Amino acid sequence: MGISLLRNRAILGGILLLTLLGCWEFWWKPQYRPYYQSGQAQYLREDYAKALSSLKTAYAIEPNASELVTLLGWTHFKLRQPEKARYYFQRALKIEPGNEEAYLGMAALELNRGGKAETAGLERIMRKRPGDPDVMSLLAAAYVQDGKNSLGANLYRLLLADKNYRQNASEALEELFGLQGFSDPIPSSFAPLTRAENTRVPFRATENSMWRQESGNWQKYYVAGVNFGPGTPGFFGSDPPVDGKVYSTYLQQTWQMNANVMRVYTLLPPSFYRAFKDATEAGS
Amino acid sequence: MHDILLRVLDYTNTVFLFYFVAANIVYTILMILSLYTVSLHAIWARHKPYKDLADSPVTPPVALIVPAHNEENAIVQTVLSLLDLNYPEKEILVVDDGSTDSTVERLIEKFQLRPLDLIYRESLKTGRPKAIYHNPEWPQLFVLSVKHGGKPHALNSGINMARSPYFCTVDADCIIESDALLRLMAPVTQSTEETVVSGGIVRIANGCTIKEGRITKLDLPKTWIELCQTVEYIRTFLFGRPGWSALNATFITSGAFCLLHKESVIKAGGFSRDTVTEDIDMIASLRHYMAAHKRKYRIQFTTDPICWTEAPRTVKMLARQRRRWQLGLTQTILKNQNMMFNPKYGLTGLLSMPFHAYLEALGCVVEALGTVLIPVSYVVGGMPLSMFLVFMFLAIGYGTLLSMGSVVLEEITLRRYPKLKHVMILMAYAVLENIGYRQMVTIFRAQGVLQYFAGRKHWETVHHKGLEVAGAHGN
Repeated sequence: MGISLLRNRAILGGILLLTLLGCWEFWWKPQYRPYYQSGQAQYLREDYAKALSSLKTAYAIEPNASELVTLLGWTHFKLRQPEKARYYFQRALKIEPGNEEAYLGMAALELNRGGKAETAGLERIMRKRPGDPDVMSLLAAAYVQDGKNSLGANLYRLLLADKNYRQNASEALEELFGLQGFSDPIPSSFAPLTRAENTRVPFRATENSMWRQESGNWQKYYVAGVNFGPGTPGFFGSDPPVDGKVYSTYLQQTWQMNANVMRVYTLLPPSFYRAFKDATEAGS
Repeated sequence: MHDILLRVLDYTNTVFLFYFVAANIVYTILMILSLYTVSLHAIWARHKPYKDLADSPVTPPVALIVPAHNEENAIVQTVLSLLDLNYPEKEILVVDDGSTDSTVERLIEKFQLRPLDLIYRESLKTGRPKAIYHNPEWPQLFVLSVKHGGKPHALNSGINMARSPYFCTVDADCIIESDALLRLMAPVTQSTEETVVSGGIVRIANGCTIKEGRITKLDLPKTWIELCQTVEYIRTFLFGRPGWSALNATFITSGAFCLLHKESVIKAGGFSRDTVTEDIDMIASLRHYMAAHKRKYRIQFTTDPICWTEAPRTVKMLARQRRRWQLGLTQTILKNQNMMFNPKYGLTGLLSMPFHAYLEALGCVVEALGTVLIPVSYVVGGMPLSMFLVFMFLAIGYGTLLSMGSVVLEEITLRRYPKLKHVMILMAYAVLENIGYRQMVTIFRAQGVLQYFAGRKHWETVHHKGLEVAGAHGN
């Protein structure tokens, strides 16, 4: 049966048809690669609008090349179109679940809008590509968002050596150490946390009054307070100013109107505490 | 790894897309041709040319050959209805194919037949029948009892016994409308060329009330599987075959009701046992013979001779039927492969044969794979949503359009279902047929093709359609 089938015109015709379709699919039909390569070159020249049009042409020909889809995502990211970027990154991850660039893209999108990115995944990529400044900066931002400031600061310190990321890294470090607006150098590490040996109670509330302890004696204390939150004019509540000078001015003005207490209901940026320290040291 | 999978899916998707586009282009062309020929024929038929044919003394005689194997329930009624057919000169040859039930006894009892030693000319090699029964009071009726040898053998025995220049194959469980034979003969007498085959339409009788071999009340069947088949039959018989007939490239006629020229069939070697669908194979053999002798001929398909048949009522029976048809089609195509791309056979070789080979026979494997792989490729990300929707549109939307169009064409020309309610039901099933039913049938058909390549050459050779429906008649 085998040999006679191969001499059969119907079978031969079918094989020929399938071969022709294969040739068309893999060789004859317009290939996306030239468009992809020119798009890539334009992207590297930071000509994102042109890169986008080349990549779109390539995408129309071949919608399933994950590297192309990822680059489209990054181009949209650079053009500040996060929703489109997200679509392409997700699609790239669907086509190739292990696509690192697309994973980084998703992380960048999340971090950019103030969300969290999974540090474990970024760490894994970091281990694969040690010293890659792109991954490092994303991982540092992810650490900071996750509350792991010292890990983040370490990475930013390494990034100070990279010429593209120097500016970013030093800004981030100043923010972390609350140094913006002050002329201090960036310290090499966070100050160690030490706990006071004896607990001291400087204030108490009793007998319908607030009391303050002064050299061992409790005295009534009149509170003229200011409620201080992150909601600063011109800023979102979730994104308070990081410049220490702003806080220094506020503190000075509070002082000048004879307020003696400042109430803070949430954690403020490090520069606030730095300014507070300066103000109290200067005031007392 | 994933990348390779996507490459493979890209290729298969290209194949599916090609299949769908090619199939739908051909269907569209056939649809336009069918619309033209069917409406032209309807206009012509409105002038009632059949009366002339019925009255004329030169209307060619026809032998109705009824191969029967274990048909005791239906045979007497079928013979009665055939005796009742409006046709001037006919003979009825019932060929009992070694039945183990009382098929012959019932006929002997009903028509008071007795064995006679009549002349039997062995134009086709069959061996002499075990017995020939006849009763001069029913001069048109002959009953041959042959050794069980399959339907092709029974038909060949009938041809040997026939005295008329034309013969018509009739399945034992079919009901033929009383004018149908005249309508089937009309293209033969009208044609300027030699018409060697004239085929008619097959309709589904499920749901109709049948008395004395006549349909007394027309109605639609009740279950979805029969309704889907009703629409499917309307579509294939109104939109596919008239189109091929207009191109003079008919490849399939239904052996349930088909008129053939006896001499040509004998010259072409009669019905062969090579395939399980001897009717399709016969057309190909005739084409071979005619082409080899450079004779001009036509193979005609007409849409108004109607033969009613019982369709399978269960999924299991339907699956068996479709597997068998597909197996037979594949066998026939591979057997007659030298017609493929052969200009000697005109449009049959260049168009009809490749269409039936790649879009009908082997294509159903592609379609079955596509039914599975296209959603898979969408899920793994091999295909964007827009492309997926285009595929779905081609697969379902266009099929629905064709089905609905054929129901409309039926209502315009033949009007066998005159009630508005029937039309509404048929329209609804024209949509439903393309969702679920078609995919199911595609998978059955693909199984049939795979069975061929698995080496299954003869499969329930003698069982034809109606036999699979036990006790469907006489209700």
